[in-house]
Amino acid sequence: MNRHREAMRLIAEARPSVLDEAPSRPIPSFPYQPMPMPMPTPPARRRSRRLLAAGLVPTAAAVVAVVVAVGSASNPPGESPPTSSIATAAPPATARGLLLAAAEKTTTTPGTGDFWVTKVELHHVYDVGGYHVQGSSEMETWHPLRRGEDVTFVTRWLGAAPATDADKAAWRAAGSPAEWALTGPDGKQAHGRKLTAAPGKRDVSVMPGGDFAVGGTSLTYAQIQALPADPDKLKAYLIKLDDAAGRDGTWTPDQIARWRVEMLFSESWTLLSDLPVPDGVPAATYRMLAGLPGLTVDEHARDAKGRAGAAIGYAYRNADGSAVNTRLVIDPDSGSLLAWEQRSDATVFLSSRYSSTPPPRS
Amino acid sequence: MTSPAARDRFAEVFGRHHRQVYAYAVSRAGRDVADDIVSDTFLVAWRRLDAMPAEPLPWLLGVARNVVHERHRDAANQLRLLSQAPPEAEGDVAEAVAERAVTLAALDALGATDRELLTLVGWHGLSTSEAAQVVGCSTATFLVRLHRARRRFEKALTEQSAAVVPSRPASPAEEIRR
Repeated sequence: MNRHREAMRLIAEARPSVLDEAPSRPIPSFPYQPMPMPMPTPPARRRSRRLLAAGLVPTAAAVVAVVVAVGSASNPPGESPPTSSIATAAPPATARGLLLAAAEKTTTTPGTGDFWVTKVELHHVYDVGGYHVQGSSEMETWHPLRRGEDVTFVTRWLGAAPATDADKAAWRAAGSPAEWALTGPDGKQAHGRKLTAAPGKRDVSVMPGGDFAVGGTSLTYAQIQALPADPDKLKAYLIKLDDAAGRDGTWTPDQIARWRVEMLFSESWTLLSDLPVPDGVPAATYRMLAGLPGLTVDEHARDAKGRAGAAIGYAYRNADGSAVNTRLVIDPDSGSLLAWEQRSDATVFLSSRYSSTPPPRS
Repeated sequence: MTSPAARDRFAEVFGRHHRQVYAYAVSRAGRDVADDIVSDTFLVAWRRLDAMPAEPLPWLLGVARNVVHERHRDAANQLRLLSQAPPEAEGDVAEAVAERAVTLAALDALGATDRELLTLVGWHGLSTSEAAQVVGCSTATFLVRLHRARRRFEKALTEQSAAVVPSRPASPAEEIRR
């Protein structure tokens, strides 16, 4: 056995340093999905641009197909209203009213510093074979306000438990395990990893690329300070950013209109939670949202932490006509953001602040 | 999964693990294709965020392994670790350089399968159970295969010591031990 340990020591010591010479690279930006429907011709320029950067062109079409199929799995096609009515219908008065009320109350995070620190909880429902467990983790993002500095993520696994009462019963029947195997990318349990009921250790990771991601591109802190506080101008600016990411001439006006509503709905979360925006921008964001067609409302919603609020919903459309219902949960009384929910995922917003002290290193 | 939740999670996983995926890619198929493997791996990760476990590294390396198998098999079969690792910077003792060269040559002399098992544990910081997950077998099976791979490595080490450093004594394994 000593000899075997010796062999492993020799191997470990011969580890070539080229293994650690990974180039710094930005987070790959894959296309938003699901894509707007119908999609007679793929929007080649948009995809090829983003995928070229990642060296992924040959698989682009397959990717979109898979993502769309996955995205539609839990939402029967009948759930969403037909496209034509979405494109023209005014939002329900209550959704619009709640958003405009939130716009009156919302505020920005006061203060200054060298870092913009946001804290969220990520909830995810995992299929563990036969039943589901809900796991969550906490993530604090330390974003430098100066260009060229690293972004630091401080994460911690908070644990997992059966998702519903029915899942709990199935879990008991399975012997109340404290950890679960997950299926791998090929769907086989053999590649499965472990998911633990118990919380995990804090993990600190650092990533290059200090700019703030907005709408398929990234902005500097200075550019964010210049975001318009007028809802129409803000909308026009976001559309300009999105258009600059590229789209070929095969999109119909309906497809573009629908795409833009999805984009604006998605970016509203970014504006309200991720970015150190100046005064007036959160209110403009709510007012911009209030003008979008196709919104739904659930006035008596609760987020994954049980906080009461109103859920503003929008049905993202898949290429096959099915929908993915997405909800932005807000507290209309204070104008504060509570959560973003989609299918088996929820991001619960906890806090944002400026910091003058650097992030933890471990 | 176009939600900010998905993007946050993807960004976090990418930031935490892309260097480790790169290291694995170099060790399996070389520097020339490592970037491609990293890109393909994270594309799959983006598509399959639903399936990604809380501790995603073994899962990601499992994906990278499939990418190597499907698209870079030739590069993997032809890889010579020795050629991927130019002599280290000066300051290294000549003997240590020679020792590393012998070890890499011995790994090169093995089949890609043995080499993978040994480097998963030796270079990528995985426990045997995590490494077993990457290659898709049980931990017990992995240990048996690792044991055999080690024995073949030791044999190759003896042979390579003679070949690469001919001036060395006849029993290089003894000599190498510090």
